[in-house]
Amino acid sequence: MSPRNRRLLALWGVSAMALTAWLAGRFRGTDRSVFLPGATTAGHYQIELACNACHAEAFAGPEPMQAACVGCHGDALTEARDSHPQSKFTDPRNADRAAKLDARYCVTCHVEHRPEMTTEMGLTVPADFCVLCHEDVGSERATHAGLEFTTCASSGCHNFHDNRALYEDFLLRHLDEPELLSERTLEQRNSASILAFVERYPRALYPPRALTAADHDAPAGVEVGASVLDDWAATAHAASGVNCSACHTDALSRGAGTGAGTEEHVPADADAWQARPDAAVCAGCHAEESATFLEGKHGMRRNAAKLGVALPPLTPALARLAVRPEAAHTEVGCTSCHGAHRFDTAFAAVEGCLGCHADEHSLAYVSSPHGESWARARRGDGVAEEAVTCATCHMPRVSKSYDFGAYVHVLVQHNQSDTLRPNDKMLRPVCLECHGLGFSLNALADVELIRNNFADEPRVHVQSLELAEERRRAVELEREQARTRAAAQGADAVGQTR
Amino acid sequence: MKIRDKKAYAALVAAAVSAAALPFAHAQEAMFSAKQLADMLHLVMESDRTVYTRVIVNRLTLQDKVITASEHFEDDKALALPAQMFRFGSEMVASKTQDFQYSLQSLWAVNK
Repeated sequence: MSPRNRRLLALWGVSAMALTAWLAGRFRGTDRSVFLPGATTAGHYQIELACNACHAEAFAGPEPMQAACVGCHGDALTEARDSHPQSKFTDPRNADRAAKLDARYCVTCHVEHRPEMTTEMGLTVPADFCVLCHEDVGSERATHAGLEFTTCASSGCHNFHDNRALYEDFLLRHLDEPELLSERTLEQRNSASILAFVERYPRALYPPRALTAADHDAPAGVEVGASVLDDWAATAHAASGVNCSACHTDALSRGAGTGAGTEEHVPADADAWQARPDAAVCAGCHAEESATFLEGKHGMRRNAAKLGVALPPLTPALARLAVRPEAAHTEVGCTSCHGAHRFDTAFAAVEGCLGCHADEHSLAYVSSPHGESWARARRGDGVAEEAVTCATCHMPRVSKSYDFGAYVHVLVQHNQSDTLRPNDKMLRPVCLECHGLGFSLNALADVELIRNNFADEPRVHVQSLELAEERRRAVELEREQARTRAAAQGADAVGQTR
Repeated sequence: MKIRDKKAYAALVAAAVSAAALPFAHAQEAMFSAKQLADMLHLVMESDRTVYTRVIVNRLTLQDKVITASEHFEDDKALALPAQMFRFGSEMVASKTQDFQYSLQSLWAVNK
């Protein structure tokens, strides 16, 4: 070997070892972005560095990854009464269909890291994929004859998974509804009124009673500013007896605490004082809100139970939507929206959002009809039950029944992604509280209208309602003709007998 | 009871019980033939569905008239149709084993 080749070989060896060492370092570190095979979809990019959350096992076939998909999305699909569950494709009768579209596995339609072929909702199959199984729909339903298969899901008529607000009988029940319903009553908070039913409520430590700033139980030696006390005294926390120690100490977990002004009063321990309690403290009482927060884009990076690792909190700088530069490095958590001590839900419902979000839809909110309804309610000349905030639509209040209907808790769905895509998931929990179905379908199908935050009338028309009504009329006519034929045959039979 | 359910009931008699009966393929000494097992499974399915139809649905909807039965039973706050009850059972079985599957067969959409 010539000296030159020996030098080249040595250089190659050193370079290969250096590269291997560098890659190994990146693999063992927290920033594995070098291994990303392509841009991640909008739904997953925030957790793309938690590789093992999806790639649970190497070389183990599709099952571990499918389990990972179901681990995060399974509950939502069950809740959505998935129209195409896995069981439909494991049914031997559908083997021929599964051969065309193997929907036993999510990745058949949702391949990650392939931005060049990814469309809305992370879909990586052609838009007319419905034809693979439903090519004869035109012969089964005259109303569908001649419709393009690219329009099944894009027209506002159908979704692959969630059709809770799109099925035929539902459409028929909502025919001829006005744009704005005569009764418009959004869910209102009811935590205070159901406390008596909530067994786990720590009433022995924090008896439900209104506290004032003078009742605070911060231990001696902990400096508490007047503004902090004023903020706390104005909250639902103070109104229901939740004192400083509930959040700033481990009083709840160790069973000791305060019942300020009562015989059970136990002073908070200054040594156990936490100046900045973490989200786990909030979750101690607000478990549902915390759980749903961790499922949404705001909190998913912190969902160690699902990811296998807790990534650093989301900051607006990571967002793909336009955000305010001054908020770019704010860490998103409970207090970033609710504000420590004040915990003003009215602030969290609008200003909390607009403090970060600066996309066209968000910026158009304040001057939109929805924004004006909120402004009227804030001024006191509007109806609070009709005030539509950012949270009304994106973090709707939902009723949850406990103990087989013993009580119903109205809580806030903190997974703002839950109803975002496809957006007609928003129909039932949100739009139909105030608007008719036809108007709502049209509005949600109008991209420009969404961009300007529903500032004017929809310019898109979804045909679902007309098609459903047309089919109902056809079925009724068919039945009527069958009855007439049967009656005529009966008359003939009687005539022949006679 | 809706006509749909009567049709579905008729279809139940001809329900296709596709028992692959894999355990038998591996058993050293099969105590039952595959047909016997399929017949037994069919008997259980038919009886369960008949009892649900008569004792729950027909009694409450036709006799006592206190509730209706509906395909969209959650939205309508109603009872699940017997055919749905049957399907839910078959889907739960399918989620637990790949060894055999069964289903109610008819031309009605609910059984497709």
